[in-house]
Amino acid sequence: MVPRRMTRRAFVKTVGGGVASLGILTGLGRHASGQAESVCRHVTDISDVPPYDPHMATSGDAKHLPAMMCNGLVRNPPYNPTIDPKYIEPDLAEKWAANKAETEWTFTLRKGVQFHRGYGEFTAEDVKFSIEDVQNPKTGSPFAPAMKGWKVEVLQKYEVKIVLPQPEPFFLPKLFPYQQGNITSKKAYEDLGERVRTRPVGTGPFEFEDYRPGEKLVLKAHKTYWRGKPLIDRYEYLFSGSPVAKRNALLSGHAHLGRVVGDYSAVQDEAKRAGLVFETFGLPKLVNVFLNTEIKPFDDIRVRRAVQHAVDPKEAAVVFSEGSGVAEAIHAPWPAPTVYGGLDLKERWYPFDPAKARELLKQAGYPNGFDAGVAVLIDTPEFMRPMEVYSAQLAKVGIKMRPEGRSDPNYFESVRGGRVALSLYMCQRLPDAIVYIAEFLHSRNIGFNALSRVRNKEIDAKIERTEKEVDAGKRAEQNKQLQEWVMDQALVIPTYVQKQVGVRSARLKLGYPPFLGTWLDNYMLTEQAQLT
Amino acid sequence: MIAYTIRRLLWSVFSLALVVVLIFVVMRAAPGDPTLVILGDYATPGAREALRVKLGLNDPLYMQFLVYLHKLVTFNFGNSLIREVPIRDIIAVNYPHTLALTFASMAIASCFGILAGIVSFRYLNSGVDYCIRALSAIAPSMPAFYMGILFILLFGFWIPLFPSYGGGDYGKIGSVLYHLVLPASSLGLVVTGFIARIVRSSMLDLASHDFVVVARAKGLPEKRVRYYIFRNSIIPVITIIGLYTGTLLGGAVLTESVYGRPGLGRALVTAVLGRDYPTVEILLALFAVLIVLLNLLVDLTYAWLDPRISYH
Repeated sequence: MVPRRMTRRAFVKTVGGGVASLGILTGLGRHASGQAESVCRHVTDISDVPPYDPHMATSGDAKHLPAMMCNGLVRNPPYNPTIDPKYIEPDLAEKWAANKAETEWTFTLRKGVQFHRGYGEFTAEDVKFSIEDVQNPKTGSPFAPAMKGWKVEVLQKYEVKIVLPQPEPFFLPKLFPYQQGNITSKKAYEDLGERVRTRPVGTGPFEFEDYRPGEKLVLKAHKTYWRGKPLIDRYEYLFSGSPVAKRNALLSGHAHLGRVVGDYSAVQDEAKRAGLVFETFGLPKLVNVFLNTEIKPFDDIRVRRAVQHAVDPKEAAVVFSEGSGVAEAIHAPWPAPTVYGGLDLKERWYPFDPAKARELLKQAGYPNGFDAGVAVLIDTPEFMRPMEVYSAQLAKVGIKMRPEGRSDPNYFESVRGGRVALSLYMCQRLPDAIVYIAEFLHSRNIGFNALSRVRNKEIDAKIERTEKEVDAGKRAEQNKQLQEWVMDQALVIPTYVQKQVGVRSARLKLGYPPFLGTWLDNYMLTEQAQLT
Repeated sequence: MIAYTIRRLLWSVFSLALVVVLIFVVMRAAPGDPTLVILGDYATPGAREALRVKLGLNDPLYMQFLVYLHKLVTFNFGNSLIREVPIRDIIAVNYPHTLALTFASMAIASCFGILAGIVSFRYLNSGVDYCIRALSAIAPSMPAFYMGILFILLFGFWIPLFPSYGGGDYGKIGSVLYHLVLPASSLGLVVTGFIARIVRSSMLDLASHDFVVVARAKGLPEKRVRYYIFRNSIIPVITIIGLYTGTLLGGAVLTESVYGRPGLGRALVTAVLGRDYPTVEILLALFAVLIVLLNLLVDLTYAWLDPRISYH
């Protein structure tokens, strides 16, 4: 074959034609993509939304949705995630009163509040329905234990009484528009049945409009919201499927909000260059490593204390934060001021002291250390790195520990099944120490989150007494004693407190300043949020 | 041909039945419990048990299998275990995006690949040929997600010509096409290199055959001769296009993830990670049907393109 050359004319025609086509295509495309409404886009890196039914939503990627669609009987001011009772204010209830024993609470409800999508006015029947929906075993709500034994009586159309089996220290916070406290429409359930779980009907500032699996969930402004028409017309929750796509959406301006998980330092720099707001906000999450006392040699207190002396959580916090300051090392598993009634230690109970660790191991019969096996954590890089720090520190005293990340179902099965000696657990709860202590220490939760698997009847009794203590001061003192016992027994390695981190467009004003945070692991919008 | 088609279809039904059973067995054998995914942090033993009853997970396995078969046969796919939305809705939302991405990227790959192969053959051993050959080697060696990230940087940020996130406004065809340009290009260009090389080498091989010599001796124009060469070299290209289309219909998960596009691939991965048994079972069965039909279509296309091929 004789080689042929492309002529200059042919080359110019080809390239020129290509550039012209590109120009036409982009011009047409931009024209096709215009938008007129005030639409706030919130992007997440998950591929699809977890359950968002107001009485089922447990995930940080979904909890904020019911909060935007529902109200509770009472609430904290938006963006003030404290449990201090002085901040509690009316929401759907205008006023309330309790009997002397604090076992009967009567609420006078707000009149004229309308549910979404034409489901009528909110009344006492809806309060009764909502609480019973949580309690109903057929619902399968994980929040049912929080309302165990409650009885609801409809006294009048706008008056309802809740009767408790015993006084509860956190009764009013349980009625916040959060988890079990979300009020939903009885009429909507009668009309839609179980389908209402994916089309919730509440009284909140935003109402459900559309859910496109794998793509987005859309809420639109509830125009007759009783606190005022929202300033944002539409909220879109975008499921990007990857951290790359999420950052792309935020940096390109396509999305206005996004939670940040991992790569904090890099995201902080990128956000700064793109003119975005990078912010940390409470309620922080507590990260601890639990030692399983049912697995040898962690049944020996000397070994547990050796582990405590061998690790330095400060280094783990620095590695996790990547220099962005989003995590701070803690000295107690549930510390003050993060948690009300938490232990306030100025320094570590077990100072970092590898020599002391080796001495304790020798006393326990492990002069050369031992193989602790696998330490299980959620399968994300930002948790793997701090555990690798611990692994290296433990190796210096002869303890071999291999961090292993596992996906959600496997992770929970492993740590709750009692098959691993060390597990890193991160969580955020109602910020009172007894809530954490009961969940992570009481023997009734072995098989759930009592990861140290301690069976001590005396401690269980103390926990149960504290759970019923309505006097905040007494409760704080009891919490302190319980935590001191936990530290003395070296059951938990307090690691760090991790702030919630997010990126927000400078155009998006959330309203209700100051923005201290949410209960929800995520941003949420109120009726005052607006895009300038 | 008709007899062949019927035989293939019957054989396909048998293959599909095997796949359906295998999917069910593998999913149920995998460790992990969907109640843990749904309840997460709050999965107390009591809550899990209540949810297992609600979702029918405590029913005997054979009953669950029969329910699964019933759903497949009646096309009443039921709800996702995790999200309680109809699986049909999951397919309806994601499948157009997957189809659009698949066919757009294969259209780009086919057009540019075939064109590049022909140009490379026409200007053999020239600078143009060397350039095309170099690009044909580089493009397939880049992972699709890496190509995607490069495109996002180049055309989404540095020279912002195209949107780099999402599938566009579903109701507007212009918006959908506009949002398709970057992901389809980044995915298609990876396959373009393969197609270009196959076209070039096939045409080179056929160029020395007797029929080409005869055609030139008869005085046919060179364009006509190249057309005959190309026509005879197309069979392997059809095979590649068919294979890649089948692969992409299974979902270009990485491209979908990089661009934040919905798609069946991402939906399947989400379902697998969440132990969403019914969704995984239905989606995999759907993919199996698509692959089988696609392979049959490719085989039948051979006979249409090349009359020398016949099936008995």
